[in-house]
Amino acid sequence: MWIKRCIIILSILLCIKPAVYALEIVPDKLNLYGYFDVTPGYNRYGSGTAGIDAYHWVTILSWNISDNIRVVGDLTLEHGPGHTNDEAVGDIETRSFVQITQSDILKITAGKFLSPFGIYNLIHDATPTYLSVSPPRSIYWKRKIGKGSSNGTFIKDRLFAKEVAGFWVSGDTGRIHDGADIEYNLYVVNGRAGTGSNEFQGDDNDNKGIGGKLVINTPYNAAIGGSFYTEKNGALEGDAGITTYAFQGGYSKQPLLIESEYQEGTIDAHAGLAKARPRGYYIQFAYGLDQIYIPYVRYDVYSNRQYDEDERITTVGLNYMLHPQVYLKGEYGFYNNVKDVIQFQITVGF
Amino acid sequence: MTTIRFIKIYVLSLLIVSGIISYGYGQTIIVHKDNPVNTITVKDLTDIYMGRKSFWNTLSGPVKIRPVINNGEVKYKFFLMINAAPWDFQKHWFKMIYSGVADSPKTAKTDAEVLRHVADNQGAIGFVTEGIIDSDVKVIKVVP
Repeated sequence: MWIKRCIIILSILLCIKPAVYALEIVPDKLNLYGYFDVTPGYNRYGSGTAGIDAYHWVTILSWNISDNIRVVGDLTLEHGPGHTNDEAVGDIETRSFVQITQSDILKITAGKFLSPFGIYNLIHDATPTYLSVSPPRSIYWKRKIGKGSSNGTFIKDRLFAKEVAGFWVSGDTGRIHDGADIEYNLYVVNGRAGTGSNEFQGDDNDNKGIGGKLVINTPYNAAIGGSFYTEKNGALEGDAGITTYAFQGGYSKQPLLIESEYQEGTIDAHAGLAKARPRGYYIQFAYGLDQIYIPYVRYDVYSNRQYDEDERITTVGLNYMLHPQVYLKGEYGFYNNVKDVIQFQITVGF
Repeated sequence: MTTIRFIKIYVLSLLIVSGIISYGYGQTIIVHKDNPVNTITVKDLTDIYMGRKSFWNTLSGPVKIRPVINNGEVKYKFFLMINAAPWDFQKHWFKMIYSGVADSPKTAKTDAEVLRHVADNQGAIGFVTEGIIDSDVKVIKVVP
């Protein structure tokens, strides 16, 4: 306890002021939030070259219709989207949902949202919220998951749906008698669709994607939890089924921060491929005595156990808080099967 | 200077400053004058400021809690009381707002702004420098 108090005092001495605030467009009604980052690096995305990625520009509008009802809209621009004469480049993503809060233990959300899966998916692109340049590859990046329904080539995607359209019920008990705080999430969504279908407009099969997440925040600075997601994936030949489980754990007793996840999916046999059981896991340690310089190291493993050699990455990095809303990051990733990756990032939250 | 001696002086300095700050700035927790709540636990205060508790349960039904952060000097003692490092607090709320789960608390630059916010909003709660209150707000006692 005294270590944490000392760190809080040190933060105060170093003039770290929390800067949480909304840009209020209409007081108590309409708030604007957002974040931005730029990411220079070498061999990012396996290019073998050095380059600069205009990674994210995200704006989030939150409109409070009443004390219980709010509408949230998010516009995400990735990799500097634009138009050339011939083609569009970069990614434009939008999400929007209505959230009805009956009480702290019952919130109902409907619309298009990031699925509450694992530690990172709800904050998938929000680089100001985490130490590393991007979320762990083993769980949050796209991988070969099977052969496609349109032309039989490999489909690259996650073992769960990153963003979904549907209904989501969630709640938080608050701390129970100074004890654990329990968060739960359950959602029913369209599931992912094949080429030519818009999974946010409708579904190309009768099966629905179903997912859930439960996290227990203990009073001992540790949190444990689990997530699951299951669907018939329309992008795979024969609408092959995917069922994925993940377990997460974290320990945060300053200055030490530890987090780890394990994910394993089952992909049904299809298109001449045998049933596959890919898995990924990572463990990350960080140490931030003054909360300004936070070095971290992560060991990240992904194994599809069928198509490719296992990928093992050891990442060593440093997160520097230039301002409570501005972070500088630098990391070196040692890869076992491709060239190493060096990347830096400036990220700003507002 | 040996490393151990440096660490001892460093830790001692922190403890001295901790003591000065702990006792240098008193704070008072305030709510709207019509709020029936008279006491609040540190646990509930922490839950409110971390976004885990967002409704007052009153006889007339749930009322949305509208916390306000006082960015004056008094905030240092407040963060000590709820045992939250400013860095953690910041990251926590970034996660909440970017995942769309909640809106961030309001911030105020001065005690006067906090008093005005609390007086104007039925569900509001805030903290101000000890002794700086007025009749439009109600002081509640913090209990363990």
